[in-house]
Amino acid sequence: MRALLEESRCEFRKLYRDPAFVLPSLGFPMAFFLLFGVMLPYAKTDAQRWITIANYSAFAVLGACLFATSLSLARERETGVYAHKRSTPLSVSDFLLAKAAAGAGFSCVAALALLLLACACYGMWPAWQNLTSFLLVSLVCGFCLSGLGLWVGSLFRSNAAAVVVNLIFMPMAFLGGLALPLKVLPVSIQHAAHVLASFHSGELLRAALSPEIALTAKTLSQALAVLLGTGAVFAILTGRALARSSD
Amino acid sequence: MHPTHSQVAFSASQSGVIAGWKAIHYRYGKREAALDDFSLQINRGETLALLGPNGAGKSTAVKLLLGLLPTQQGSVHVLGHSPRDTATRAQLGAVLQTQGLPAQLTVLEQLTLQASYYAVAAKPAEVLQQLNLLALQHRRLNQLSGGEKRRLELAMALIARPKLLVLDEPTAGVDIAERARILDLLSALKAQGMSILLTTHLIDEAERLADRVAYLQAGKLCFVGATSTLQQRAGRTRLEFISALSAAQLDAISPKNASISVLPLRPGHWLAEGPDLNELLRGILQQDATAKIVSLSPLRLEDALRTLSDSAAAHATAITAQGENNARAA
Repeated sequence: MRALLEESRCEFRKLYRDPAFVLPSLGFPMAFFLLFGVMLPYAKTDAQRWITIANYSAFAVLGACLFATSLSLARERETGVYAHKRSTPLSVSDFLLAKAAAGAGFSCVAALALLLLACACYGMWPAWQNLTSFLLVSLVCGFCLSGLGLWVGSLFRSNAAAVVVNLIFMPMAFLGGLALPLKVLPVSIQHAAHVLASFHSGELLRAALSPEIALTAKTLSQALAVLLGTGAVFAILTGRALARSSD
Repeated sequence: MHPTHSQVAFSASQSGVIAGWKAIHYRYGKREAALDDFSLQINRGETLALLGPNGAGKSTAVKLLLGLLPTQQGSVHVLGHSPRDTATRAQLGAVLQTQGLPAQLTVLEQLTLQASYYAVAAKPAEVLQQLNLLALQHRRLNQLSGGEKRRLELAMALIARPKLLVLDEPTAGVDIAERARILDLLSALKAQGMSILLTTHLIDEAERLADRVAYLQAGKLCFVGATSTLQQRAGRTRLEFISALSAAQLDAISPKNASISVLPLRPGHWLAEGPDLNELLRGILQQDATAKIVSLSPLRLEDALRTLSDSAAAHATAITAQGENNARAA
């Protein structure tokens, strides 16, 4: 447990001390929000504004955890850090859990940064219980989506991993209804979105922020099942890929 | 009744052997074998240098010993157990050839992290003091020189007071002063009785630190023995020459009981090695006026090792040629 905590703490330090990661992870969602949420405002009412903030926060969570975990693992496999850790008593599961925990932590920071900017722009502030739920949901979504990032990091070198994550991140955000409302997309895509973790992250964050959206038990359990399932499946695939690699 | 886990560990600790490889064959994909029937043991308290040119299989042997690669054939043990056991890894300290360090952490943070992996570990400050890194403890790792990074990697390897220290080219890429500092430190650890496996292609490091030397070439173990034995060999002379004389003729003119060896390098090209080659040289020049001396020099440890590898290559060529002749005759 001590190793896991210390490893998670150091992983988080590595993330926030790396400007090449921090600036795009925080900056891109903010830039998109300023462009589409403020300069070309679609949201007129408070309810619409909360939904806009929740969507861009889900976008921030998705990007932060995918890039944090994939690039970090790919880089450590490439430079020999991972091989060195395997020569110590640290277990591979603790090593991966620490990366997922740090990715989730940074996702939370990215979501909070966007929320602060959005609240300043819109001149509104969530209730404390909404804010707490928002941070908790960001953490859970970030943790589960980190599985996907780790899988990419276990397969590709760092340069390739960055490209692959971009290829995954943008379609996931678009098809999950984070960039455009799902109802403007074809019906088949609307149905397909239900298997995407990005869609359920958006659902949960919208419910956490907006006082007017209440999730049914069925919707909540579906969202958690997809998120946890995504995390578990990709964690298993990551473990298999690492066991096969000779890094 | 099968021995229990602790009984195996006890018998291994009694035998004086701390770790070893047994009949290892290892191949990366369909490439040539990286290790071919490789068996070697590391004794408790000794420093064993694993020498060989690049690509000889040294790093593969190290990775197998650390449990970083699974065995394909044969077995590897450390303190009587598999190196892939977590408890076994807790007894090992390793400095790998390409061991990246995360640029964003400080020296102290990195060492504290390393200490957290072990149930029992030294205080980071103590180890930093021992490695002369205390003044750098708050410096980020990307601000350290190559030598300072190497010393930090050594500190990481020593933090849990390992029973076996595995060093894969520990002085690669460091300047002369830093190299001397690292070698002094390793000498001190050796004097304290720590078991060390050192891989290097720098012969003087092996000469200075190792009790035994193992020489690997193309995945095969060509020589294992005390460093002093190799140094005695190194006191001899090496003569490389071109002559039309046959092996039988050269054998006839070689002084008897002078422990001179003459080996063919390629057709008409010979290598002689012995304590005094003057008589042999006179004989060659008398019998073959066209003979040419390519080189005549005293053997250093490096040359002694090269002779070993030349003999291994010549032996392999001779076996291949004999096989071809047999096939032709058949």
